[in-house]
Amino acid sequence: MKLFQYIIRRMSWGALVLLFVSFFSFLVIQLPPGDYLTSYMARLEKSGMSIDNASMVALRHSYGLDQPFLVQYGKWFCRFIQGDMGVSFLYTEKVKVIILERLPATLLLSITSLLVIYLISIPIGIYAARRQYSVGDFLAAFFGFIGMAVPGFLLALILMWIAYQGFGVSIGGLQSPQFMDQPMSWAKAIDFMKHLPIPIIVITMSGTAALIRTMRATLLDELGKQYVTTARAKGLRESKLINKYPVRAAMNPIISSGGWLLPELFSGETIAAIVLGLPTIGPLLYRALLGEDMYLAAGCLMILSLLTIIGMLISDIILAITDPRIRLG
Amino acid sequence: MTGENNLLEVKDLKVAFNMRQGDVTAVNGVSFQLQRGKVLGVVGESGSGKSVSARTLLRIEAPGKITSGEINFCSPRHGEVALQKMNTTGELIRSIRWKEIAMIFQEPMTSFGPMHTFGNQITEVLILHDKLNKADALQKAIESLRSVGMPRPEKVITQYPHQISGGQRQRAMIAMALACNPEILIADEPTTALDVSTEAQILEVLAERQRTLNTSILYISHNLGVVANIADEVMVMYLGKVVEHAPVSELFSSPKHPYTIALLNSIPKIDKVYNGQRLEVLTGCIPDPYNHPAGCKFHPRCPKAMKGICEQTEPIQQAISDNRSVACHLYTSSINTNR
Ligand SMILES: Nc1ncnc2c1ncn2[C@@H]1O[C@H](COP(=O)(O)OP(=O)(O)OP(=O)(O)O)[C@@H](O)[C@H]1O
Ligand code: SF4
Ligand SMILES: [Mg+2]
Repeated sequence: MKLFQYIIRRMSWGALVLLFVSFFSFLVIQLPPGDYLTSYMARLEKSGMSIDNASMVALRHSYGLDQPFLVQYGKWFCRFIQGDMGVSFLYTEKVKVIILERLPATLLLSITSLLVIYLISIPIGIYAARRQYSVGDFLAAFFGFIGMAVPGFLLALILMWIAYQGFGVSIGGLQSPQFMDQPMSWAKAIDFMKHLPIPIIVITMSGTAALIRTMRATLLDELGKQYVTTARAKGLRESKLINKYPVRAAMNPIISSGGWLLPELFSGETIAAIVLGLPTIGPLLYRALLGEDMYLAAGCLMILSLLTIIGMLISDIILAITDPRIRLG
Repeated sequence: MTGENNLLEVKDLKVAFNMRQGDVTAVNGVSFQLQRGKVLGVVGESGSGKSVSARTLLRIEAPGKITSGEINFCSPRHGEVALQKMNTTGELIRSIRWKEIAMIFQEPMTSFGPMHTFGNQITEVLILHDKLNKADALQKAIESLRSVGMPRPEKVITQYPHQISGGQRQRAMIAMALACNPEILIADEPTTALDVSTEAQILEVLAERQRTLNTSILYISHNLGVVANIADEVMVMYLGKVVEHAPVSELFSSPKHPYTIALLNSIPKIDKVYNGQRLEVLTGCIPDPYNHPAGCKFHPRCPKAMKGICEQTEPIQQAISDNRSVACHLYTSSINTNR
């Protein structure tokens, strides 16, 4: 019952946060001088064409871009909660359709990445903490610094170069061109699996490095606590007592780390995703922001925020279930 | 081992910590014997090495290391064993821990893991050492909690450490320590978190254990008053050394070492009238652990220090009667200077 109330409370907070995010993202998108039409005109002029002022004004009016900010926001928000995210200027297509097209790949990549991060960083973090200052700990720390320091896009370029040089394949996107419009088949699935490792490595690199450090530091902290000595004094086997008591306690920050990992994962390391040509939402948002395509940008931001809020909610709920101090107050 | 009734014999034990700032010898040549069914009190200021000595008996002294000495234990199942030689993660020492030597830890707030119920943590030792099944272990855990005066033990076994008070947690700790009926119970300031009446109850529980099951107790405390109540013998520690060891009544009626005398003077006595007089307080504080004074470690604070002797030669622990010993030049018949 307490847990249920907790979840309800968390969800209302999530809704409130989303409201704020929507307002401020709309505001930020409007901040740069000009709007979609000014950048559209600039592009036309570059290619030698021009457009007269009268039709500019007419266009601006028809898009509603001449209205005050709050009116634009209000209208957009009302439509948004009814599931209508407006139309993209760049793609002349419904924002919802564009985003839905990219949602499966975004979810698949980010959730797989999250699992990969946990699977790699938790055991390594435990090892590094238990063998503090050993060669293995040193190697983990070294990998950690590299992982944090090397930007994702650089890693993407290096890996693509290696794939190209070593295997003679150009690995970009998530599919080879010949499968693009094909129905699902074994060959297509295998082709897809071949494309997966590089994006996953690139996306998980910094998160894994960060989480190894978090796990190691938290576990070291727990290992020094009295209850570990108590468990040892009770005659339990060392590996058993470590896994039962301090590792269990050190899992909490790891579970809540899902919260700060997710935004990064959902946007899929935007620059790296652009380099890799991934069909995810991150690059879409980037393009929308560059082109001052405000409805598309707002739509992307809202979906990314929504995913992040849902992810944090899930991690909070898992935390509440696993930690008696939260569950029982 | 000398003496029929000796359960534990510690000889010249030294335990050191390698720290970045230098080595700290927290236990610096401690010797004592613990007899079956007796209570040995250990007193001394903070940092004198009481807890480290106690943890070493269970071989959980890490990151400290035994640098010399012996710990001989008369194990009921393994015969006479030398604890100092054991592998600290080995099968043998693990079977002795808690089943034969159990310990009540000083820090009640953090002695239990935060993520498991008391039921889980107490039954754990019963399942491990007494090979009980879960249901029997739970029953035994409830009994054990009840025996230390825990209210509503059936409820407590379903609870987590953060749900009960520090005092109740300490009772749970004591219940857990007694659950497997150990031969030796080490109680490291078991009543610091408790109010006076609870403290009295706990002392009674321990005293009863000693009477009925002949459990030997190593009782560590700052509080000489408590020790006077429960102990048969008292060992006074200062900077990792035993400075005086005596039967409890003799220690209180005729303390020998100036440090013991100072400790006794610093506890208020009800029958003494302090008309405006201040209590005598030990002056100065424990010296830097990295830099012990030469000669007698107590000489900078000792009111009876003898110039030319005390700051030069370290007194050794010497018997002054059948059952008493003291480490002080005042009681050394011939001072053998090594310079
Ligand atoms: N884990 C450790 N690492 C380094 N040094 C330690 C450690 N534990 C204890 N020591 C050293 O051992 C000395 C003795 O500590 P110990 O805990 O035995 O004192 P104590 O007599 O139990 O004091 P208290 O009455 O405060 O409990 C301390 O001064 C400290 O320098
Ligand atoms: S040896 Fe000297 S300094 Fe040390 S306690 Fe005895 S009298 Fe005091
Ligand atoms: Mg202590």
